Amino acid sequence: MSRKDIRQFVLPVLFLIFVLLVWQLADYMFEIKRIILPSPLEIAEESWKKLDDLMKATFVTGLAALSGFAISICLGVTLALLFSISKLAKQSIYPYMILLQTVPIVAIAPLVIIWFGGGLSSVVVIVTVISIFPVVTNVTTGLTTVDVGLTELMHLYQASRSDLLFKLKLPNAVPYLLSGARISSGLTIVGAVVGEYMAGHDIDSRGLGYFIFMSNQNFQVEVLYASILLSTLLGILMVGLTALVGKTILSRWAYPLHQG
Amino acid sequence: MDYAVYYKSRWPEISSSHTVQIAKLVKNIIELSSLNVTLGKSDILRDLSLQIPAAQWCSIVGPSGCGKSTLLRALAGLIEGTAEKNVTDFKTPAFVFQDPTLMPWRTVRDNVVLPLELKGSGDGRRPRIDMPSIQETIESVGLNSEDLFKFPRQLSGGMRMRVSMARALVTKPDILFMDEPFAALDELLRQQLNQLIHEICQTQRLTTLFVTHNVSEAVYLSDRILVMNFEGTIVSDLEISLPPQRTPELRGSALYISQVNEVTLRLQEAMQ
Repeated sequence: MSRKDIRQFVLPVLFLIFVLLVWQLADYMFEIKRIILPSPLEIAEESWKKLDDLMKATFVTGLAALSGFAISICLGVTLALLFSISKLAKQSIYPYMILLQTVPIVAIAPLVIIWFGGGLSSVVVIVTVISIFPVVTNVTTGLTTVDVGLTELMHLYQASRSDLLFKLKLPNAVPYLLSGARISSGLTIVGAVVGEYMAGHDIDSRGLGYFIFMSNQNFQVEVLYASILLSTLLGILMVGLTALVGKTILSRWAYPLHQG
Repeated sequence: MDYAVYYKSRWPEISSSHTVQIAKLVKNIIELSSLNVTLGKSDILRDLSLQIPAAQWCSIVGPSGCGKSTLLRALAGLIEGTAEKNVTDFKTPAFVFQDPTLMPWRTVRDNVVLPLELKGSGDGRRPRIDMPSIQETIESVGLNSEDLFKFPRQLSGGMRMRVSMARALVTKPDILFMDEPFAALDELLRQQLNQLIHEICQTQRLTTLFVTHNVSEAVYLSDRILVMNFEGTIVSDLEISLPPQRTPELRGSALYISQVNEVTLRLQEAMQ
């Protein structure tokens, strides 16, 4: 690590410690009510007591997010393939794909629960709905914006349709898929928490969203804070892992990550 | 065109009686009359007629936007046009684009091999890839065997262009189309690569169609130069009478300079 890297890492950590100290000190000096703002120590203490439950919830949320993410990628790539093959399908369906992105997930969630019941499956569906669009739009772009010269080259050597797909279009779409996945990965945790908040109340699949809901109802403010922190960390982990996988694969490709 | 004279000038070691005989046997590799190409709503090529004999290096010059590249693509079969007569006698065309047009996800070796993979896949057989011959092609364009497993991004612009040349030559083509291939490179490197590709085409007796906007380059390399105008048709068809082996000293010769001037003059006429 160079000096610059150390500064980039150390300074934010120092700032965090500073904020926590001020927070703890303010709590001590002004005697802020627990219900409004618990002190960092109180949060830590309460979280430690409920560590098992919280860890299990984090695991459940992570699993729901990952499952939805996997479905998003498979389904998204399939749809993008359909759009790249059929102009008719693209022209008639693709505009809705873009429009649907603007519908707030909280508004769709109750519908999903009506259709899929209150449980893990609804949560996974909500994750899929929120995270599929970046995959579809990015991969469609990747499959359809191929270098003109390379297309001409393929035609010159009378490439078959499958050659065009497997040797040109799909490899060309990989960087686009990875940047779409990077956007999606952050959304999966949002989807999972929203889904669990509304539907994930099954006894064996209680995730962080459920904890946020229940702790809010029961005035367990410390658990609420801990859940928020854990879902944020989970989000960072998802984005980080996706970026890492993407970077590893992309080191083969010449392009830097495409901005979707 | 008098082929007997043409082949005599090109291969002086062959006796006169033989060149006459050869000339009788030689066929035009391209015979085209009244070609029209329309892209969108604009006519790019109008009533264009052209004959290209085998083993000739023919360059096409003209102002920007006159349809040089379109003509090249129409001849290679990449663009559809309407023609009174369109007879082509080549089986394995190859194309070198202005950009290296390499697949960034493939190594040098895999980029070079691509045309063979595509040729092999037509009848469902596994592609036959003959490594020694590929090695030979790669070396002929000045690449080393340690470059084989590099990715295009690890290569300089000149090296990428060499890979592009190797990919074109790997199928042992009978006609080579080149669309301003080295325009993005610096002058010295361009001369070097021009020299290289000229020698390869000369030894393989490869028919070459070469689009450029650089007159001195065209004269240095060509047996024949076609000048196009904005109307999308050929206005001058000039034969270049220089010795078949082109060496850098040629650039200083009076003959070379006079022909450069001649072509420049015709080009200026075409631009009016």
